[in-house]
Amino acid sequence: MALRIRKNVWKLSVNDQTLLWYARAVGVMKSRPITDPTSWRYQGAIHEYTIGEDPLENPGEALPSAAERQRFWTRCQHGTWFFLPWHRMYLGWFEKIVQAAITSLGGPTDWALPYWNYSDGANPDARRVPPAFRNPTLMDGSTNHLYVAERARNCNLGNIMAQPFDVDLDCLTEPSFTALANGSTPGFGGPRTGFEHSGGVIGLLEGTPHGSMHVAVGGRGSPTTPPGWMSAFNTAALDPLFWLHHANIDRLWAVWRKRNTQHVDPTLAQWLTGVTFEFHDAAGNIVSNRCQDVVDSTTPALNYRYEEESDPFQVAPSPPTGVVVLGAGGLTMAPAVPEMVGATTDLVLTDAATRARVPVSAPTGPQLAAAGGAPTRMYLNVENITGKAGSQRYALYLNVPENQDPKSHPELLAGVLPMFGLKESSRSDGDHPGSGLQYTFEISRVANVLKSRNDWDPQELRVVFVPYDTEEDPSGPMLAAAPAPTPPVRVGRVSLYVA
Amino acid sequence: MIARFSTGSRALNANHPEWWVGAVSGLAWCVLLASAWPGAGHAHHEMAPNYWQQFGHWMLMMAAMMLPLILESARIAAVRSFWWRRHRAIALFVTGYLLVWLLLGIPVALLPPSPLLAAASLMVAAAWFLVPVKRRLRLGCHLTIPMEPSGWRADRDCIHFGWKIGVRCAGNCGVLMVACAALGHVVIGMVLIAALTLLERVRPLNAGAVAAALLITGVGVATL
Repeated sequence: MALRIRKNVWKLSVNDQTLLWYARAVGVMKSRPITDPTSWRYQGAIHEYTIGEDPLENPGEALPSAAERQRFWTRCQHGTWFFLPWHRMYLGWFEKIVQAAITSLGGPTDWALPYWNYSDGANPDARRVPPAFRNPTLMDGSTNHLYVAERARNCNLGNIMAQPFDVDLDCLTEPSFTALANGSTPGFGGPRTGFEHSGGVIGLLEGTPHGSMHVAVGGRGSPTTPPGWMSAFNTAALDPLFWLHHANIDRLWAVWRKRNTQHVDPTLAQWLTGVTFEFHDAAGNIVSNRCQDVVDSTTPALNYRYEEESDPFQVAPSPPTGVVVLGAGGLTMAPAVPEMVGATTDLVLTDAATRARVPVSAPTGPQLAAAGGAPTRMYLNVENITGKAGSQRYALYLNVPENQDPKSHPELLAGVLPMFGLKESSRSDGDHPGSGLQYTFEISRVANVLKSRNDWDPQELRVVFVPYDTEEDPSGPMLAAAPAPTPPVRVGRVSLYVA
Repeated sequence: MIARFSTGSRALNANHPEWWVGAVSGLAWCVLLASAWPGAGHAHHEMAPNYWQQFGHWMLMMAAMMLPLILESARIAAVRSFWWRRHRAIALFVTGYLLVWLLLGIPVALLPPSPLLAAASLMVAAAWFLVPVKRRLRLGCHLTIPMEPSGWRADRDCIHFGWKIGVRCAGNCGVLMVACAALGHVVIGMVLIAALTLLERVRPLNAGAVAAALLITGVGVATL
């Protein structure tokens, strides 16, 4: 079979029927009972399922057995180096199920999942939800199965529903796939973990644009209403947009690898073959994959590539920094060992901007001797973020003067906290240890800006968390206060590392 | 050669300050193996061990079998501390962790080794593998908590971190450890159980939970 092409949803021609067939297949899958592994809700539950929080629950309906649920449901991998390969497997088997449904309806046999490239700077509509997903009915008055009401308001209004920094692609410049889990880089793909883990630091791609766009679509909810489906682990995959969003994330993995020959996947057996993940095929049979099965999407088992896999920057990435050491293989780059130089604990984020001060000490470890005491890289860790409900996103700025509005200082933006899966990550249950979320931002660039202005204080770092969401019209005041209060979000610790 | 070793050890200490926790575990295994060697401690084996010998053996077993399970958490305790107090953070974390096992060991050491008790413990442990709360406890073994960077609060938080991990770890593996003690600290039993506890931390055991339960049940029956 010829290699299938996953196409850009915004570049589908007027007569293209990719989305129409997708909608019909979703309708077929939705008509199947949740006990059927090829049903829409079973596929959504693979990502995560919480009894009592299923928005499509039918009273008295039978669920798969507890053993089956434990084996196949709530398998999503976040905060781990399995994030990208697991989601590629998940999409691959889902795509086959959709394809089978389309074939059964008499549709094309080469259907492929399209992707939503919201980062396309050449497309002014890129940050709008594609029209096919916005209306509850089709032209003929029948149900549009791609429509979901439970989205942030701007999504189905067709407004631009995300900020430019929600779709930022800085993650593509990160040379390392794997996080070192030592306070420094979160890596392109996340930290090395086993199958069950603590919800480690979120990898760069998983943070933005992945997490940001999840919550941009789902919105933040309120104390009385849950957020839209895309904002939570246990409902995200019920929105047909989820699959186009993740196709784009999967595409960005291919882009990252292609843009630099030094961008390589992990080669450790622990990643390649260490864990076997189980799914169902289009016939409902149990199938399994390991990471090594999915590193190349053009193999017969997966058989697809993306319409666009070229480098969006078209410039050579900057070389990694570190300590040059002479090893058996010649000159190699050893990452500098980072050390924590300051932290502050227990912050509460609300609907207003929250400011905090991080006392900073001089390095006493390897950074004391390195580079004359001037570290080359700096990282800000936001650890153990917990909350009892969905949250709006927060933009994190550094050293903004007390009397000034952070949004007027984009050069001081350290990063975005998407808060995707905050509620689920915060509770200690059979699926999560309850550690909350953790984000790491490299702040070297912002630090250099501050140093050039003599605004860098080596003994104190000032941080400000600014809430924002998509309920407002982004063409208006971008970072306005939220219209309804949201439950507070606790940040366990903010810490500064130098390397 | 010496320079290369020195460089390597510095790199190990910088990247994996928790190395000595693994070393303590290795040492504990050596002592356990040596004491089980034929001919070793005959006089000691001919008499029933007293309470303190039992208790000492329990703690030795915990050091051997449990410390490898907390290497990652010990590393996190160190990484989240100032450079100059990384080893102190690890030591306090391990203290908090072992405190849980020490408290559990106080009553366990009262129990004389007995095949019946071992079999019963293994049966309970096998059933435990199939209970959802075990999965919750196992996941809880990967918990992290916010820690103050310095001062007495930092010390307190390290101990608290170790204690919390210890409570979850004891809930997850405690019955198996009691079975090990009831077996009289048989080395082969300890090796098998250590391998099982290590495996379930890194791989999805859902499909294998029943197999693990059957295996443990089989061992339990065999001890009778």
